[in-house]
Amino acid sequence: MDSENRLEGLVCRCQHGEQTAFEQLFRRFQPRLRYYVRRLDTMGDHADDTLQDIWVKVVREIGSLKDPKAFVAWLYAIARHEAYGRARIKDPFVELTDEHLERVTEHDEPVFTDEDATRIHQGLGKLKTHHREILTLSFLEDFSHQQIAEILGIRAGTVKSRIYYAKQSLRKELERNHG
Amino acid sequence: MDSQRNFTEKLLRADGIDASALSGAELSRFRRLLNQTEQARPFWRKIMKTPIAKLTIAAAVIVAALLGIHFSGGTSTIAWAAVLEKVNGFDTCVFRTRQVETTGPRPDGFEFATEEESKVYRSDTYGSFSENYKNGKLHVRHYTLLQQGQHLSFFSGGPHKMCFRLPVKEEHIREFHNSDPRRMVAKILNGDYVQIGRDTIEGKRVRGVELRDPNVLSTDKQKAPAVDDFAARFWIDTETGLPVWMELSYVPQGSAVRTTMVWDQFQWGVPLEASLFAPEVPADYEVVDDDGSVPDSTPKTDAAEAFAQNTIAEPYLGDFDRLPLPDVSGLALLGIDPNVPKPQVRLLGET
Repeated sequence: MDSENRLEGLVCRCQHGEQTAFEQLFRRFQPRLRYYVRRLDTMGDHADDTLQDIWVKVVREIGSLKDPKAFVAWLYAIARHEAYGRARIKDPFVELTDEHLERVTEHDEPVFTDEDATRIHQGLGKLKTHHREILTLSFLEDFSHQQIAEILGIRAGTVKSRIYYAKQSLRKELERNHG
Repeated sequence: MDSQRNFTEKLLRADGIDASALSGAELSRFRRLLNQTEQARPFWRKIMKTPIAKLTIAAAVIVAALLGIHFSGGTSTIAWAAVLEKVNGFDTCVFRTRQVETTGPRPDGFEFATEEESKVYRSDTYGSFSENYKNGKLHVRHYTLLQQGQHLSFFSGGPHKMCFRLPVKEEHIREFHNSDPRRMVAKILNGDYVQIGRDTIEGKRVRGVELRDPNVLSTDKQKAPAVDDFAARFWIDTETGLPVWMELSYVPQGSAVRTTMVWDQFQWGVPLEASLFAPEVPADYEVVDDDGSVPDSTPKTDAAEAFAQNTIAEPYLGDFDRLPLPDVSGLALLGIDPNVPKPQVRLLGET
C-alpha cells in the first residue's frame, strides 16, 4: 500500500470519527503546517493559535470533504485561510499578465537540492510574503502546480510563473549571502 | 520521494521543528481539542454507501442520537409519563437487542439480510456487559467497567482470540448513557407520538405508542436525516406499566436496505452481582493493552491482521443501493401486528 493510498485510508477513517486516525493525521502534518504557518505569520507570535484553529476546522469539516485524495490541498487551503485571517494579511498575490507567463516559458527554473535546505530556509525569510508562501508550499509537499492553484485560488498556469519568479528571487538572495 | 522527504525534514529542522516527534504537550492539547470538537458528519449518506459493519455502526449512531436527545417534558399524558418515572426508578436492566438489515425480496428471487443479536446487562453502579452474536455465533463481548475504569472487548469470532483493554474514556461513558433503554422511552415520549392500541406480546397484554417523525433524531447541532420510512415504537405491560418491547425501523432515503432494531426480554431492576462485571481473560486470548497512544494503522502482526479482519472485513450490503431493487419501505416491521409477517430473527443460543 503506497503512501497516497494510506493517506486516503486515514482520511476515510477520520471521516468516520476514528480518534486514533485523527491523531495519526495530526502527527503527520502538524510539523509541516507549523513550518508553513510560521512562514506566513510575519509577526511570529500567532502560530500556535493558528494551528489550533486549523485543526478545529479540520475535525469539524472533514466529513464534508468529498474526495479524500484532495485532503492535503484542502488542509493547506484551510491553513492559509486561518493564517491570513488571524494575521490580517491581505492576499499578497496580484494577477500576472499573459506577458509574464510567456516570458517564464523562455527560462529554466533555478534548481535547488536538499543540500541547500538550511540556506533555503534562511533565504526564505528574506523574501516577500507571496514568494515565500508559494515556495514553501512547493518545497514542503512537492505539490503539483494544480494543487497549489487550488490552495491559492488561482490558475495552474499562474502558479508556474509565480514559482519561477519566486525561485529567481531566492537564488539572488542565496547568491547575495553566500556568493 | 525519499529525496523530497529528506529535503522537507532538513527544512523543518532548520526552523527547529522535529518532523519525527511531536511533544507530549502538543499531542495532549490536540487530544483535548478532538474531544471537545463536534464533527459534522453526514451519517445517513454513509449508511447507504458503506459496508454492513458500518451500517451497523451507523444504525447504532442513529439510536445513540435518538437516545441522546434531552427529555424535556413533551406531550405525554400522565399515564405515559408514569412509565418514564417507573423505569427511571431502576438502576439495573437486562435485555436483548436484535438488528436485521434486509434488501427485501429481489426480482431474482433472493433476499439479502444480516442479523445481529446481543444480550445486554446494565448497572448504573458497575457499568455494562454485552454479548454480541452475529448470524447466531458469539462474535464479541464488551465490558464498560465504571468502577475499574476499564473498557474491555473480547473478540472470539475470528481466527485469533483477542482481548483489547483500555482505560474508560469519555466516549465509552457517552456510549454507556446513550445506549440506555430508559432514554429511548424518554425520546419517544418527548416526540409527537400516537397511541397504537393494545395487543399481546409473549402472553402479556400490552399497549403501545409510535413515533413516525424522524426529526426526533435531530439535535441542535445535527440536522434530521432524510428517510423514506421511519418508525420508533414501544409497548408496555398493562399490568406492570413497564416496557416489554421497543423497536426502531427505517429506510434511508433512496436506499434499498431496511434496518430494524428490536429491544425485548427486559428484566427491569433485576439484581446484578459485582462478579458479572469482573471478567477474567481466558488463557487462550491475546491481551492488547491500549494506553491511548497512537498505533500505526498498518497491521504488522498476525494478531493485528486478525483484529482488522474481525472488525473491517464485511460484505457490502450497501452495494445493493446501486441496483434496481424493490421498494423496501413497505416491508413489515418487527411489530406485533399479527397480520404482518415478521422477519425471522435467530434467538440467543440457537444454531
